[in-house]
Amino acid sequence: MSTTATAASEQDLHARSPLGTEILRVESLTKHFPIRGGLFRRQVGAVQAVDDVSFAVRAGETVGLVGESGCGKSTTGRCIVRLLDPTDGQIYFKGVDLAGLTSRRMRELRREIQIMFQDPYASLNPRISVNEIIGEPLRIFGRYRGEHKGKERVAELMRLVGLNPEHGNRFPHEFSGGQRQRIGVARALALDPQLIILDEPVSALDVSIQAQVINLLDELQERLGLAYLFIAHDLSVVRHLCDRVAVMYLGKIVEFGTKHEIFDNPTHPYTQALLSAVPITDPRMRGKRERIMLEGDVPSPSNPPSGCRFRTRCWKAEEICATEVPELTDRFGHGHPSACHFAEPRAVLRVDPS
Amino acid sequence: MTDQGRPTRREHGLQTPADFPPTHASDVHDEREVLLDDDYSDGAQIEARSQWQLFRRKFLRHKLAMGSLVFLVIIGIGAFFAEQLAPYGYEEIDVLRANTAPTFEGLHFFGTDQLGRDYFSRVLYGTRTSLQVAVVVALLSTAIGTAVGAAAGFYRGWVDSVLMRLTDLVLILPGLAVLLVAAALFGQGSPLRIALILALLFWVSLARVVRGVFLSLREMEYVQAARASGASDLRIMFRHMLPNTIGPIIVNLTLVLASAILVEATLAFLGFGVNPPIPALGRLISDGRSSMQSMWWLIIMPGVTLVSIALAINFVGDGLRDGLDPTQQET
Amino acid sequence: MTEPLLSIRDLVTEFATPDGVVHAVDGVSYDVYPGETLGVVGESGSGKSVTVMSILGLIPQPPGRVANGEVLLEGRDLLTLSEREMRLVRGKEIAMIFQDPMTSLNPVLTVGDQLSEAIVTHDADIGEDAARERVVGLLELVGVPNADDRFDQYPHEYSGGMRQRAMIAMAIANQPKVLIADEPTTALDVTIQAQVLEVLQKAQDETNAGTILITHDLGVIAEMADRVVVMYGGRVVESGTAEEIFHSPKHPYTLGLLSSLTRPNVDLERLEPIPGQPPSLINLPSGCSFHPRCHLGQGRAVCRSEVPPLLELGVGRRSACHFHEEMSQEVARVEQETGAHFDGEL
Ligand SMILES: Nc1ncnc2c1ncn2[C@@H]1O[C@H](COP(=O)(O)OP(=O)(O)O)[C@@H](O)[C@H]1O
Ligand SMILES: Nc1ncnc2c1ncn2[C@@H]1O[C@H](COP(=O)(O)OP(=O)(O)O)[C@@H](O)[C@H]1O
Ligand code: SF4
Ligand SMILES: [Mg+2]
Ligand SMILES: [Mg+2]
Repeated sequence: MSTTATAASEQDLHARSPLGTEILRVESLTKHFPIRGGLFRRQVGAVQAVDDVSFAVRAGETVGLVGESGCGKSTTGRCIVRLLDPTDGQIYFKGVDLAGLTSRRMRELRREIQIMFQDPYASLNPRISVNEIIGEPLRIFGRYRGEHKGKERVAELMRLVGLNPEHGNRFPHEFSGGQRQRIGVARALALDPQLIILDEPVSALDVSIQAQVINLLDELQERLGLAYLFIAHDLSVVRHLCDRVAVMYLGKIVEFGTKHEIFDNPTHPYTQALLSAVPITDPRMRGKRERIMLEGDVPSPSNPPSGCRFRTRCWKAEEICATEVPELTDRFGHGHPSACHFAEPRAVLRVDPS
Repeated sequence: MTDQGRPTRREHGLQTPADFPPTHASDVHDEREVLLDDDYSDGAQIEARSQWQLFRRKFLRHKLAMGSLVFLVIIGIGAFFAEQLAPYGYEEIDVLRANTAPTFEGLHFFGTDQLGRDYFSRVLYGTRTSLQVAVVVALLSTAIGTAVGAAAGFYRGWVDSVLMRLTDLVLILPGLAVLLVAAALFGQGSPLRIALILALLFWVSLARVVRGVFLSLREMEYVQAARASGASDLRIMFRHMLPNTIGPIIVNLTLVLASAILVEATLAFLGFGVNPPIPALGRLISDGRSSMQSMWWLIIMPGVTLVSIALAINFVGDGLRDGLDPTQQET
Repeated sequence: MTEPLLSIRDLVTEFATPDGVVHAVDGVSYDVYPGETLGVVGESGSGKSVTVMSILGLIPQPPGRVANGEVLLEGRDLLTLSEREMRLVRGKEIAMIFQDPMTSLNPVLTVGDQLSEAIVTHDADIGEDAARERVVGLLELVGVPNADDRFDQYPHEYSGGMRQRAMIAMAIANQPKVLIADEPTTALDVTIQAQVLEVLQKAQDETNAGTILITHDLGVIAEMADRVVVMYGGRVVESGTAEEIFHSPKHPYTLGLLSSLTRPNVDLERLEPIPGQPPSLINLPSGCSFHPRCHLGQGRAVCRSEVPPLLELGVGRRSACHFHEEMSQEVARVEQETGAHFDGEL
C-alpha cells in the first residue's frame, strides 16, 4: 500500500471516484481506552471499545453499522475522522493510509470525510448563528472569502437541505430538532466531501421528522454521489437506507453482508437474536414469529469473554467458542462473512404462515 | 442504492413560496419532496428571539438585580465624577463645622470628622478608590483564572496536573496572612499594587470553574464537530468553548468584585490598605473606629456604603446567573 | 364490552408559562378496560404523559392546572379526591412505570428495601419476613436472576434492563387495577426491550390490570396494544383496535405516522413523512390542529375554520377528521407512493 501519494494521485484523491469503487478501507481497527486507577493513576486495564474491525465503503453506497449501545459504533466512526487516535490498525482513504500523513496533508484529506452527530441539541454551538455554523468549515479551509463567495455557498447549502436561507442569522435554539439536524447535514456538506459518517443522525427524532431527514439523506446521496457510513441502532432505518450492513457486538463485527443477506438470511446468532427482537409494525403478525430471547446483558468491554464475545448469551455456544475466536469469514460462499463457529442461515423475520 | 425503480418525487400539491426561487436549476430543485419548514410555519414553534433578548427578559424580571444594578450605576457615576460632584475636596477642612452629625447645613450629608473634613465627600472619594481596586482585581483575576482554567481543561494531561497543583497551592495558602506579609513586603499604599496582590489570590475559584466547564464542553458534539472539520485548537477554544463559558465567568466576576471590596476594606482596617491621603472605604471605617462612641456616623456611613455596594453586586450576580443559565426555567 | 375500569372524560390540563398558556391536554377522553393493554401513541409533546400525570394528581401546581374533566376509577372521580386519599390510590390501585428507572429508584436504598416499602405502605400488618418473601417472589416473577441475593443490592448494581424489571415488580407489588407504563422501554436496547416487554405482558397477565402503555414507538404498540389511542397536539385524533389503526387508519395524522415508518421486514420504495413541525401548544392552529401539515385537508376551508369533533365511527372506533370518509382513497394513494401495503402484510 503506497503511503506517499504522488502529485498525480493527489488529484484523484479529491476527485469523485466512479460509483462502486472502494474509497474507504478500515483494516484491523482497534481502539482501547485505558482505565486508570490507584494513587498514581497507572493504567489498570482497558475498555476494548473496538477490536480488530475491518470493512470497506464504496463510492456512492451506504454501509450500515448496527449494534446495541456501547458496542463501539461511535468509536469506530470517530477513529475514521481522527477524532480519536486508533490504538492499532489502518484507515485507508483511496489507498492512502491516513495515519502515515503529515498533519497538513491529513487536514486536506479530512475535507473528504465528514461526520454528523446524533444529538440535535448538543451538536450545534448555541452561541453562533446558523450562517456561521455552516460557514465554519469553509473558513477553516480558506474557502469563504473573496472569490469563494462563502455567503452564497452557505445559502445554497441551506436550500439544499430544505432550510430557508433567510433564517441564516438565527441561532440554533430557534430551530426544532429536525431542522437542527438539517443544519448538521449542511455543515457536513460544506466542503463537498465524498464520505459522510452519520452517527445516529435520526435516533433522537420523532418518526415523522425522522422520515423527513431520512428522505433528505437519501436524496442528497443520489444527487451528490455521496458515500455514507450510517451508524444506527434502529434496524428498520438501516434496512431502509443501507446497501450493506455490518453488525457489531462488543467491539467486533460479527456479520457483514448486503442488506438482504443480513435481514433475510442472517447466519450469526447475535444478528438473528437482534432481528427477532425488533418489533414488527403489524399487529397481525403478533406472536406468529419466532422469538429468540437473549439471556442477560452485554458483558463489560473491559473484560470481554474469551473466544467468541457473544458466547455468554449464545444458545449455541460450545467449548470451542470459549477457546477459539471465530474468524469473520465467508462461510457459505454467499460473499457474506459471519464470525460464528456454528453459523447457519435462519430467516427470523419471516413469519410462519400458520 | 439501486437507482432504477425509484419512484419520481411525488407532486405534493403544496406550493413552494413564490419568494423562494430554486437555486442552481442544474443541481437542486426538481419538485422538492423535502418540504421547506416555512411552508408550515403556522404551527411551528420557531420564534426569532436572540439569546440577548432572552437574557434581557429574564434579567429584567429579576427585580432585586435590576434595583441593585440601578443603585450600582448611580454609585459608579457618583464615584467616577467624585471631583465634580463632591461638595468638598477629600482633604478640605470646614473648621467651623468639625464634629458635625449628618446635616443638610453646609451640605454635610454624612457629617464631618474631628478635623472638619466633609464625610460625604470622603466617602465618595473612598468609594472611587475601593471600586478602582475592586475592578482591577476582578478583571485581572478573571483573566488569569480563565487562562489557567481553559488551558488545564483543554489540554488535560500534564498541563492540567501542573496547573491544578498550582491552583491547589494558592487555595490552601492562608489568604489573609499572605496578604499581610505581601503588603508589608511590597509596601502598602498604591491602589494598583494592592489590586495586583489581591488578583494573584483571587483567580483560583474561577480557574476551577472554567476548567470544569471546559472539560465538559470538550466532549460536546459541536466541539467534536469543529475538530472534525479541521478547526485549530485556538479556534476551538475561542470560538466554541469560551463563549459558552461566559456565564460562569461573569457570575464569578461579580463575586470577586464584591469580595475584593470587602477584603480591601479588611486590609485597610488592619492598617495595610490604600494609604492616606487618598481615602478608601476601609480606611474610613478604620479611622472612624476610635471615635465610634461619640461620632457614630464616621463608621456607619462608610460601613453602610460598603455593605450596600457588596450586596448590590451580589444581587446583580444572582440576576446574571439566572439570566445566563439557559437551562433555568422561567416561572 | 364490560364496564370500563378507568374513564377519562374531557380532561383539560394547562400550564402557565411566560410565553402563554400551554394547552398540554385539551379535552382528552379515553377508557381502559380490565385486562386490556391500551396503547397511547403520538409524537413527543402531544400530551401523553401529562394526561396520565393528571390522572394520578401529579401535575405540579403551579404552573400546571387540571382545568376540567373527570377521571373515573370504577365510578369514583379521582380529580375530586384529597391529596391524602390520592396517596392511597397511587401505588395501590394505580401503579406507574416510568421511562427512566434510575430516577425513580432511590440510589441509597437497596432495591429490596424499596420494594418492601412499597408493600408495607399499603399493608402495614405484613411482617418483615413476609414482605421479603413477597419481594423475592416478585423479583423472580419479573425474571431477576438470583432474586434472593439481588434483594440486597443497590440500583446502580442493576443493569438498565434489570432496573426496569425491578420497577415493574414494584408496580405490581400491590396488585393494582390499573398499570401505567410511560415509555417503559425507550431507554433500552432492542434485545433488552424485548425482555422487558415480555415481563410487562407477564405482569399484566398475573394481575389482570388494565394497562396504559404510552410510547412513541409504533413497533411497541403493534406488538403489545389491544386498542390504541392516537394523540396529536393535546387531543385524541383517532382510536380503535390495533389492527384497525395499523391497517385502516381513519385519520391523516395516523396515516402520516405509518407512512413515515421504516419497517424491519419490508423494503419500502420511499417514506412519506409528515411535512412541517408539530404544533405549538400555546397557539394551536385554528380548526383542525393538523391542517397545516395535512395532505387530505389541504386548502379546504372547513379544516381551517372548524375543529373536527371526535366522531364515533363504530364501537370504540373514533376519528377527528372532517374527511374521514375519504381515508381509504388516501391510504391507497400512500400505498402507491411508498410501496407499503396497509391491508396486507406490513
Ligand atoms: N472516551 C472514552 N473513554 C473511555 N471509554 C469510552 C470512551 N468512549 C467510549 N468508551 C467506551 O467504549 C465503548 C464503545 O462506545 P461507543 O463507541 O460510544 O459505543 P456505541 O456508539 O456503539 O454506543 C463503550 O463501552 C464506552 O463506554
Ligand atoms: N411542568 C410543565 N410546565 C410547562 N409545560 C409543561 C410542563 N410539563 C409538560 N409541559 C408541556 O406539556 C406538553 C405535553 O407534554 P407531555 O405530555 O410530556 O408530552 P408527551 O406526549 O411527549 O408525553 C409539552 O408541550 C410540554 O412542554
Ligand atoms: S380534518 Fe382536515 S386537516 Fe384535519 S386531518 Fe382531517 S383532512 Fe386533515
Ligand atoms: Mg454511539
Ligand atoms: Mg412523555
